[in-house]
Amino acid sequence: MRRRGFTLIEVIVCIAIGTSLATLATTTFLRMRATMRRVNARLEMHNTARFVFQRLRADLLAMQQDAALWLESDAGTGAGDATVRLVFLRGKTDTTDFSHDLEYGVYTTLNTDLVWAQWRWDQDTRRLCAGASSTVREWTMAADWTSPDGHNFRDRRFRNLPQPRRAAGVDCRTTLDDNRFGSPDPRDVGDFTDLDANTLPTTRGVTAMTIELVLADGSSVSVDGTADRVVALDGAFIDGRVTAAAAPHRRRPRLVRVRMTMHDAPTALTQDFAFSFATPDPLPGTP
Amino acid sequence: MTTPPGDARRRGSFLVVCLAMMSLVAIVGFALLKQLRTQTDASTANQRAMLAEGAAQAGVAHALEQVLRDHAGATIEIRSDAGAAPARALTFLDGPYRAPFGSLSHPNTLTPWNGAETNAPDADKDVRPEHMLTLAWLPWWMGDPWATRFSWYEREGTQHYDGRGRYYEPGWYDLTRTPGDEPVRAVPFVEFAGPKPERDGAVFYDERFVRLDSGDPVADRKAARYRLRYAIGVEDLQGHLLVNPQADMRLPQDYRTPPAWVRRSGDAFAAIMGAAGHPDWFVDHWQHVFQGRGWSVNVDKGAGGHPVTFPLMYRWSDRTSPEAFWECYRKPEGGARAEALYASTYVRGLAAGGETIRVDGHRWWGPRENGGGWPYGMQRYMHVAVGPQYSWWNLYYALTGCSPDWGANIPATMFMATPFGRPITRTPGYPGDYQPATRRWHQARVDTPFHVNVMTAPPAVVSAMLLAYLPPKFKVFKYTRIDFYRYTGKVRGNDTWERTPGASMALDGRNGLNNVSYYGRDLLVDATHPGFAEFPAPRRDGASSPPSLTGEVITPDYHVLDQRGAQEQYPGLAWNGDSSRPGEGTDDLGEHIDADEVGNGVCTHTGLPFIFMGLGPAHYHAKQFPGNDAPLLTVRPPDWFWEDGMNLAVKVPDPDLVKFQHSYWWDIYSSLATAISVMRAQWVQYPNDRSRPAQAFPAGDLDPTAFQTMRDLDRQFLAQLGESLDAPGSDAPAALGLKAYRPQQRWTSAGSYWEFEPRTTSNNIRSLLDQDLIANIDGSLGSDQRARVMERVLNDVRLSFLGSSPEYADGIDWRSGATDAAAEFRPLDFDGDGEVACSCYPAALAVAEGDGRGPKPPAEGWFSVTGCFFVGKSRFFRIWSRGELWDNRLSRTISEALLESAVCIDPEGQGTADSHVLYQRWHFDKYQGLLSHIEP
Repeated sequence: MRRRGFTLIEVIVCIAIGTSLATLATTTFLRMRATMRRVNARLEMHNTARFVFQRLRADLLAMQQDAALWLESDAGTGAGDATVRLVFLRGKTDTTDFSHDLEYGVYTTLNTDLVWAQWRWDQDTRRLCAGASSTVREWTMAADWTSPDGHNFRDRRFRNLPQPRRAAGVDCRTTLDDNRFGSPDPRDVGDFTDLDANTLPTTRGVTAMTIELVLADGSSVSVDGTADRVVALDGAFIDGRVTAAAAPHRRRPRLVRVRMTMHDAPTALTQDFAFSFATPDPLPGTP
Repeated sequence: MTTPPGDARRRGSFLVVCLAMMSLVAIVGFALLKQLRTQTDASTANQRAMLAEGAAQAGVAHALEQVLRDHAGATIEIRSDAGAAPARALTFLDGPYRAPFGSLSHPNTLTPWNGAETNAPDADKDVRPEHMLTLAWLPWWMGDPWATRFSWYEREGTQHYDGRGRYYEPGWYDLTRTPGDEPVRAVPFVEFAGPKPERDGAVFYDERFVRLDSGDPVADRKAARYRLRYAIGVEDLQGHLLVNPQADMRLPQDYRTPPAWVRRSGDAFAAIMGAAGHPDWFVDHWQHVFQGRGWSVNVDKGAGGHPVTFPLMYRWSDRTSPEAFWECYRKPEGGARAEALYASTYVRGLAAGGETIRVDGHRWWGPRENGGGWPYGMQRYMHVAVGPQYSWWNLYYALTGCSPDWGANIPATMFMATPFGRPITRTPGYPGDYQPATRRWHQARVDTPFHVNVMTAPPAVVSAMLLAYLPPKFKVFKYTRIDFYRYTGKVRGNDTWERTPGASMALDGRNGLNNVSYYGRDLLVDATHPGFAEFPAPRRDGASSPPSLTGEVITPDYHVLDQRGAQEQYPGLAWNGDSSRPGEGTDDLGEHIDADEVGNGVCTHTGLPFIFMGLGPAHYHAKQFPGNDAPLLTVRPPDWFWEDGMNLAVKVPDPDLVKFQHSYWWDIYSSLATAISVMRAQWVQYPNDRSRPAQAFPAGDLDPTAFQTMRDLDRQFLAQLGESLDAPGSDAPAALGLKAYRPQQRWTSAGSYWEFEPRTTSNNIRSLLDQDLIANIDGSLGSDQRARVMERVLNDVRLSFLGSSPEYADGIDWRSGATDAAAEFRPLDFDGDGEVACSCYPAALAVAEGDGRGPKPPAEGWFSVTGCFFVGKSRFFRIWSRGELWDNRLSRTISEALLESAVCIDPEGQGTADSHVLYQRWHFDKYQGLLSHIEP
């Protein structure tokens, strides 16, 4: 007589094997998924880092050495947010607009070739932000702004452009914000406020950031957000002059080094990136 | 057995099907391959872009090395096309550092832009002549290959621009040319001693961007998929007009008290640009730069912080009154013209300031109260790109402002003016602390922002400096015709106005009503130099001398119109001429000198004259304005200005009919322009479209070593006038044995070029005096008196343009630094009366020393009215470098990057270690997208 079905042993063995296989498969799958997440996270970090590299490189290659530059670090212990920022003047890196309408009256030439650029690391949000000042700020005065002799500037149109400055002054906010009109209109802002408003997140998960400037005189300065520090560098004199008292071109960056740490919380992955950029000044130096 | 027709048809159908399937497979296959290639190429776009940028940066480094090497050297070896032994170059005009950047076949060639090398035996068709290095950022109409492509460098900015060579392809530039094809070869970079930089090796890549370096660059070049290369252009910025004479870029904190440089530079620049023939609005717009119009720090603010008034540009007094700001750049007898268009925008100036900006009831464009103009009813308060500028484009933007006539600014702002450079200035304790033997290069006996290298200056710069110096009375054009037009409505489709030409009416150009001065300020005022203290300018406290101003005066009032009479504007008796030629003959001092018959000297590289005389402004007379005294407009109004049925009358000047054609000034200017031309032609090393060194001069006259200093230029200048630098006032021209030349254009089948024919000037001051040819016809003034006027005019021109150059002023050899009192500038006694007339002397007269030389000008007597020239090593350069990645397979450029740099070399004269980059800017051509070249 032929037996039907499976013996208990067979079933148990099958279940055991199946369970083992399933466990193995699940474990493998989970591990693979975790690995994939880590790989993806790492890929994303590298892609992001490459984007940062390319954009920062483009900005730094267009740096104006005859304009002021600030490297500032705020540890967040005071009133301000914890930040690290690099602010400098650069040539526009987009296509110069020559396509404006030639018809009389279309004044698109009120423009500028130079904008203030900022790279800012916000420690609290772990975001790396970048941006440039508007090429033109124009607004119609929305508020009443009446002079003592009775003229009301309401509905008048105002226009402002980023203003180059050679002398760095105390800090970038103080120096760059001095060109507002002073009206009650909230859109009447100075260059720094405009720049800061245009500085938008480009990268998240940045847990540490160090920016170092290697200056032409061989010295270096760096900030990392752990302490309050303002490095304000004057621009080079436009006529190239070098005086014993002030040789600002020797205190201009020849190399910008950036080190940032990116962290992916879900995978607990941490990756350091370090870049080095030569600024638009291969000199000074003897041939 | 025969094959049934049906079988044949079947076999044929089968073949068709097969062919169709094969075609389909081929199409699909090619599509897939194309897509694959596109994707592959696209995936390398970033790599290609960065390679091109890297090539551009390498180009800048290459240029810098060359410039630094030449600067550090005591002398520069040059080569001569005449077959002579290599000489030592004194300037950068054609020094060897330029050669590597130039075309091997046609160095410094201007035209044809696209065919210069196509017939050369070793021509590479894909290595295009790089005339258009700057094309990427030029406006579209200047990039139109079939329209006005040449316009930008045929205009103001044309100069020696060395980017016109072919691409510099590392490892591939040192081509051996067919003997006799071109006698002069470029000096390769690798000929210099020292280790070869890495970039001297060829940079050829395969498809995977793996560099090919088999040791045989010829084979590698053929096998390569990609070739990396760069083109370089070097401009001498010290041949340009400096816009930013103040180094610190600080703005005047109060426009009412501008620093001295603002006034001096602003006046000078406005005058120079006005003399260059630019429209008056263009001249006025220089205030944007020099006055800092619109900066927030430059705005008067009321108690509430609101703007009370803006600086000068936004103010006006009255368009008919002489103190009107807009009037100051125009001739007084011209009356109000364009002012009517603008007047209502402006605020009447008050002496104490604090004018109130009107915010209601007016339009941006005044006359269009009822619907015209733009923007209707809007007033804009602007902090725009004004004040000192950091870039050429910003400079352009600043000058453009809100003017729609912006296109004309391009050549002047990009190739004639420079934001980067350094003026020459007196030392702080001048003259006490001025030491000629140890002076730095920027220390001088005069203050002027325009210290221009005469060897490299664009013709327009030379022309502007000369014409700005010329008193307006001597640059009066005769209008000889009026053309009438009637506007007949807009052309459908393109929104432009059509006008129908009417009859023309001849004018008598001698009639004063039909004359117009070459507008531009009279610089012979003490605002610009101290040399004419004998006739001071109107004082700036409102009490003018002579008193001519009444009412409100804007402070500072240096913008007031010079109300002095002609004699006061220029000392002397030049105006007392032949009364039988009314309206013309008040200066016949040059009537018997034929120096001006040689024409104006020409640039040996561009063929353009050093004095532009064809730029008299047309005057537009529009019926729209009420009354019979409707203003003449020097600017053609924009299209919105016109209306159907409107009449237009255009006065047309005849540039050949200058009012004072017998003026001694024209002899002087022709001679100076020709002397500059002769000097530059001596140093041309390579044949170009305008000059052939071996044929330029008569045998034995090509001797660059005789033209090495400003004194040499002065000697040639005087020779052109029939005067002698070494024996002034001693004899007539024919007896002096002077070498003077007349530029002559020669035509060949290959084009035209310039030769310099020897000539002898008919008369000089001494011979005119001896023949009594310049006495007044009524006997009121003798030839001796008028000869003294000529002598003074000539010495003043020499001092202002040549003698005030620091080296010439103190006899400093710029090559060695040694001083030689015998070589220093001196006013000369050209009439031989034992006295030397020059405005530098307190009494405008001094007793001559034994050799006809006047005493050295007193320390305060030096002046440079509209800048001075120099010969020597320049220190400021603009470098263009375009990196390019060439695809051999597609036979086209697939990536390129244009880098513009401004550099200063040894800025203090203390060594090249202080050299640095002042400015760098990437330019991107939006028509050169990364992927646009993938499709063949």
